Amino acid sequence: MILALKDVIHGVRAFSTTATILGRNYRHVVNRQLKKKVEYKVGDLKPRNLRIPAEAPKYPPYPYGESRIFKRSNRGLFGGQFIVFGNKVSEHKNRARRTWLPNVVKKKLWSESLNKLVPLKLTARVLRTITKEGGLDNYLTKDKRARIKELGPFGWRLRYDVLKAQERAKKASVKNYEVLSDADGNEIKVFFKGTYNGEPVSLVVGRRKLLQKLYPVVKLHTPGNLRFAAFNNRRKSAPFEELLKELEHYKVDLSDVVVK
Amino acid sequence: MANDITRMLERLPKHFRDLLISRIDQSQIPALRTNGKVVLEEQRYTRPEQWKVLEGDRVMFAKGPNKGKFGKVLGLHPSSNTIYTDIAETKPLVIPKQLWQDGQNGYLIDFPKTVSPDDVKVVATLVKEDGTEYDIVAEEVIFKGKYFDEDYKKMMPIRRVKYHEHIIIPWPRPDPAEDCAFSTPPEVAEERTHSENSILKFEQPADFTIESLRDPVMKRPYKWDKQVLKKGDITKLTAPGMPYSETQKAMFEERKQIRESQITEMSAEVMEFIGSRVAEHLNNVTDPNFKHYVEKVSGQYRERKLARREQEKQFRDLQIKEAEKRNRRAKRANAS
Repeated sequence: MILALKDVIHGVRAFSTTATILGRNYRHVVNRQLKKKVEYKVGDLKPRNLRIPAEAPKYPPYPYGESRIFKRSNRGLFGGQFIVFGNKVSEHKNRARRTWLPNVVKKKLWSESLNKLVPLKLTARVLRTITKEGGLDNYLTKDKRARIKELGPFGWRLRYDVLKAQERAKKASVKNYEVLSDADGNEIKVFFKGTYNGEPVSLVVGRRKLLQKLYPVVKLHTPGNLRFAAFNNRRKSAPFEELLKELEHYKVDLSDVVVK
Repeated sequence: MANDITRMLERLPKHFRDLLISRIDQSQIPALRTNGKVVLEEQRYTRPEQWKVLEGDRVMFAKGPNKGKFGKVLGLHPSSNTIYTDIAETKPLVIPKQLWQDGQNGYLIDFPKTVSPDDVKVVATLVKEDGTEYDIVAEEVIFKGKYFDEDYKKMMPIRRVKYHEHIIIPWPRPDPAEDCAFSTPPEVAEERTHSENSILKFEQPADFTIESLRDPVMKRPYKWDKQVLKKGDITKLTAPGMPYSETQKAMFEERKQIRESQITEMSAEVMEFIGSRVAEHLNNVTDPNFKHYVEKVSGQYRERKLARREQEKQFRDLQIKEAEKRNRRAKRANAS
């Protein structure tokens, strides 16, 4: 029965009638009403009220949506803390309404991945958590469900930035060339070893510069105005062998970009 | 004053409008000044009932220096709701050379002042029984009834003398409009060239289709036309996904390894081992019923059953053939 009421009574553990002590509820985060997400496909009839934005959104949407109350929490790391309302009760039991605000501080914290100081408004509790986690990046990139709940829209966007930066750094760390020495003993970067005009060659340039050599000749032999974007789109993941074959077909002089 | 300016003026409050008109007048040369006689477009007279007199009417002046004199309406001036008359006060006006009329040979002209139609009274000519004509001046006119006027080519109100409504003051005859080279004669314009035979049947061919009556090369798509989402629209509507963290990637890798390490197909050795153990157990069965059951569920039982049935069928066929042969022989013996 308790399992059946799991979604109804928040903060109630299964096989227990007492509220959770250790876990936080994130009541204001979890109970937000979200607009139903509609998936559109190419060729769908455009709804009349659908506005197409000028640019694609830069960040993924926060799964719990924005807070309608205490909107400050949408613009900082508040750790799921919100304004609390209550009474000030005097000695004579007179009740006067009052509020409690989270202890919000302004800080600039260093992000290792973004390589810069990030100005933040965050609660003292979150600052303590960040210290424990060992840095802002660790705090933002942790995958626990509770962490996602307490990040809020601002933290979610920061998390995206950090993860993207980490992804970029990782991609940059993987080299797509090997450093060899040529006949004179100089160090050269070899991106690919293949055959050109029946002779074994080593490419000392990457895909970008190779395509820049290929583009003018392909454009010359293509009817209409071939844009570089369209040209590049087809060849951006083509293997080097195919590119060399195409260069061979158009008899492009590669003497300055290959080493035999 | 130009229409667009009056249209702009209409939107302003009155005090500001008057101020603006006076300022505009000050900036104009005297020939083009309105002298505060601008009537807003919505207040201008458009119908004969409003004008009360039309071009060609004989009128008596009831006000001004010409009071009591008779004159003729020469034209209407709609932008000030006034009329031009043949005997009118004039005022000297300096006309720039660009605006000179034909036959004008000096800058200064006597420009006739206009009169309000309220300051004149219409003169009508009546005929006595003995044929003598006499004029009357209508103090006031009212309009009752309408008729189609051939010369004006439109419905005109019937102008009557107030309190003497049997006296009708006819409208003056307008100058006949001259046809130009592009004019269509009325007979041609009024000729009926098509008439529907039936209201139930459409005369257009069955294969006649038209997608839209709108201009196909319109600059922007029509607002209410159905539109479909294109690839670019979908790109603009979809947000990027959150990249996986290192922990998640490690988890996926671990799961992949677990999936790969799991055995999905039995190896020959294992199969051999299990088979031998099962065979050993079954061979040691002593209960005859269980033995029969095992035989029955084993794969060979069905094959054996089918083979037995085939054999029985062949035997039956053979018996039938022999019986037929016997019958044929008996028949032949009986016949001979």
